[in-house]
Amino acid sequence: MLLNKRFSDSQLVEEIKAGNEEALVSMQKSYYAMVKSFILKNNGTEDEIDDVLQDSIIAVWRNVNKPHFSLTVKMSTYLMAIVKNLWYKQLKKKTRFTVVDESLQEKITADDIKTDHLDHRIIHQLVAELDETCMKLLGYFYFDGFDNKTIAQKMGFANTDTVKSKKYQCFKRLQSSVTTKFNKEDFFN
Amino acid sequence: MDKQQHIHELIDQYLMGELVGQELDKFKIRLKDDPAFLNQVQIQKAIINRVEIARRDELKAILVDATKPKKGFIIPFGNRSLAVAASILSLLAFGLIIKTMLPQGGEELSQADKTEQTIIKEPIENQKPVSDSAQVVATLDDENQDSLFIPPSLEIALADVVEDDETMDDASILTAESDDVDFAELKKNEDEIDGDEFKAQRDSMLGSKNVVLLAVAYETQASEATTSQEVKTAKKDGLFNRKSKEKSDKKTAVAESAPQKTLKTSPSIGIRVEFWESIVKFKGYKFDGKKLLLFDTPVSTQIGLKSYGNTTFLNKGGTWYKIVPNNSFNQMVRVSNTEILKVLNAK
Repeated sequence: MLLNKRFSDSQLVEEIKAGNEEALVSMQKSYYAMVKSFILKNNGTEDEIDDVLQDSIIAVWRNVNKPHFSLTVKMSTYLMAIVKNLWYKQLKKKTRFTVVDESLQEKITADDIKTDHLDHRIIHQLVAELDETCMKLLGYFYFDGFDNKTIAQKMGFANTDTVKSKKYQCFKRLQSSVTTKFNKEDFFN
Repeated sequence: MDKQQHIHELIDQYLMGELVGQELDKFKIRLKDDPAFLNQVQIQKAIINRVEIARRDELKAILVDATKPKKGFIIPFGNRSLAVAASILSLLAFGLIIKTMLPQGGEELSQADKTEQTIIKEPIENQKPVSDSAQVVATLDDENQDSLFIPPSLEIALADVVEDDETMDDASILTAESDDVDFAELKKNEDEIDGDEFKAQRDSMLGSKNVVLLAVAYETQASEATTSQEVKTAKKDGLFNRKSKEKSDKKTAVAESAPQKTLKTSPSIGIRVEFWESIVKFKGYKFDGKKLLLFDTPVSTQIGLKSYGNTTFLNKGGTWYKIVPNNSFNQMVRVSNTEILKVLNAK
């Protein structure tokens, strides 16, 4: 169970870098009122507050773990900047009457690699079937952006080489189940 | 590390935009020429996407869970002060009940005491009339309360109050520990922090300039004319499309293998460069292919733009950075590959 700890800004950054998920909950509590006030005063409703706040906190989580990140303003200011961006995007979508799933800001940037022809539901299912260790390891690496040292500490691995090797094993297992479960005709739409 | 693992990590690096220089060129050539390799990259990208979604959902679930009240009986008081206030209200209500139970006024009480020969020994004039609940509480707390007459019903009621008070105390502790959303405190915070103050804070543009993007490529003397012609044609059309870039790449590859290769720099398109100050002191850039937003860079900074292969590079104050075109905010990535630096610094 996550306790109701409060962190200072520098503590928050340290805890996020260390992968302490309690920091997320602490942020949610600390900044709820501020975000609520902003959303309600900018054409939002109560129902939309949690979603925007949670997406923003997760964006902070990812940004803090980027290699060159340094917090030079108050965490509240930084978070609000992200909240504003997300909210204005959402407002634009609202006014255009379009529904676009931007729930994931992809870290990968290779736009020339198209994956639309792949059946993502099947891959999603196979990812969901991963064992907990692999799921955590791949999530830490690809989503959180933790370095191998942090992952080793969090997961109790001996060193960074173990992380690399284990990560490759997990990925390979997943990749082979993706490719063996379907022959190409079935898999590619 | 075996070969497959190396390829896996190479694909990771490519997908994360970390491949540069020759390695990137080789990778792209293999993507074009080797369909099986392309499939592998596509599958790896799709898997990473799904892993990211799964992890994001996991983190979001933690946040959603934190907003839900815990199971079990929880008295809806967010903090101890509210619970104390509730206790006082209970006592006031209790006082009202007592008032209705007691005889009217001190005189009548003392009269009744006399007739029933009670244990009250103090003079009647020292007795305080039980007129309101606060006084009842004060009287009960008095050290001499043993000497007071307490009707049996009052004793029972008092026991109830003590019990209720304890229950409330436990409940408030339980509530404080188990209720993750502290509404009272949030409300307090809300009064302290006004969301409006953030409306006034916006990123501001300090200035802008147009910079010509110089395309750098190795060419042989023989192919130079052809390439110049292509550049002119592309200019005429007003854009460099991917095909022409790919052709240019192929030519570059051929030129590299030719014995007499020369490095040619030719102007391609104009890029609007804007200098922005970020409220969060962001120090990176945003680039959509036609417009480059630089954050935390003074307007007076010497700016140059070159493209080599399919990659754009920014010269900022004498240092070269790799620029990735996408709609995200990116950190500056300094070019460290000596071969690329040699190409970029060539006159």
